[in-house]
Amino acid sequence: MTRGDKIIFFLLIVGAILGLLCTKLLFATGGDSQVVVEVDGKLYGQYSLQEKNGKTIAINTEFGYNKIVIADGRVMVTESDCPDHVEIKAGAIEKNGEMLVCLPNRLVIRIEGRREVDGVVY
Amino acid sequence: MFIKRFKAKEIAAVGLLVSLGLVLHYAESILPFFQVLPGGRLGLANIVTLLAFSLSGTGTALLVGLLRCFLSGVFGGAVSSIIYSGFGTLFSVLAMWLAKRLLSQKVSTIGRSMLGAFFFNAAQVSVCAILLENTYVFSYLPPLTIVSAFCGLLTGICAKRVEKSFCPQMDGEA
Repeated sequence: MTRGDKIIFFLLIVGAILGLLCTKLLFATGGDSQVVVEVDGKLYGQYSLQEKNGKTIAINTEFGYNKIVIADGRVMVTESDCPDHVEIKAGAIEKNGEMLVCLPNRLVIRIEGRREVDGVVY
Repeated sequence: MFIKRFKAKEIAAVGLLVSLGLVLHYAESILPFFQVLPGGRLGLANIVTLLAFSLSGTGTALLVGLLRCFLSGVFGGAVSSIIYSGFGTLFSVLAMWLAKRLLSQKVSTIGRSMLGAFFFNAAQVSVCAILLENTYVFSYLPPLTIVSAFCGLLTGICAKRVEKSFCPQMDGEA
């Protein structure tokens, strides 16, 4: 193995690690991710996932009542008048594409934003 | 060098290298333990491309590499993979040629192997990004590069050993 080979190896590894850091910054739960709230299939509201001091939203519709909290880049449902409380037990979501659903109240909470890679096919 | 003298000899050598590459490609695909990343391969078959490069030259390496990609795509049933690995081979041989031109003696087969592995992946991911019209696939390149650096190192060492037994006079040569 020559010196040149070692330098190439070193450069590749360093480059890859830098690339990893860059993609972490670029593709991490994007700064512009949005919390989309839909009730009965219609858009109810859209909020930024990056709420500094946290945000509480009360959703009062003809289908029911829910309270959602957006804080620290995560969303969760804290209160609901539905019988099963599935969406509360689901906990907090934070990644693009994740969802919280309360079927009785026809509520869907979704995180949308920069698409992350689903997979690469060879 | 050893295959430049006769046309028939050259054809035979290319055929031999391509078939060796196909066998290595198949052997590698049935090894279960090497699946660190989806799409990550050890790249044993690239040994023949490296061999063709150092024993004969860029043209032969390109011919052997592309033929092998085409045939393994046809035999493997994954015809769409031909376009990915085809471009990968094209750019990896190009990188090896550039390394030879610009750095000549400073880079040996091992270095060329690692460069080739990187450019293979880079081209593959680029083609993927173009076909899917999605630039986010590039985020897959860094982890792939780390794996390919080690795989390239390994295949490079293998290729160098084979090279030495093929023509011992290349021993001192970079």
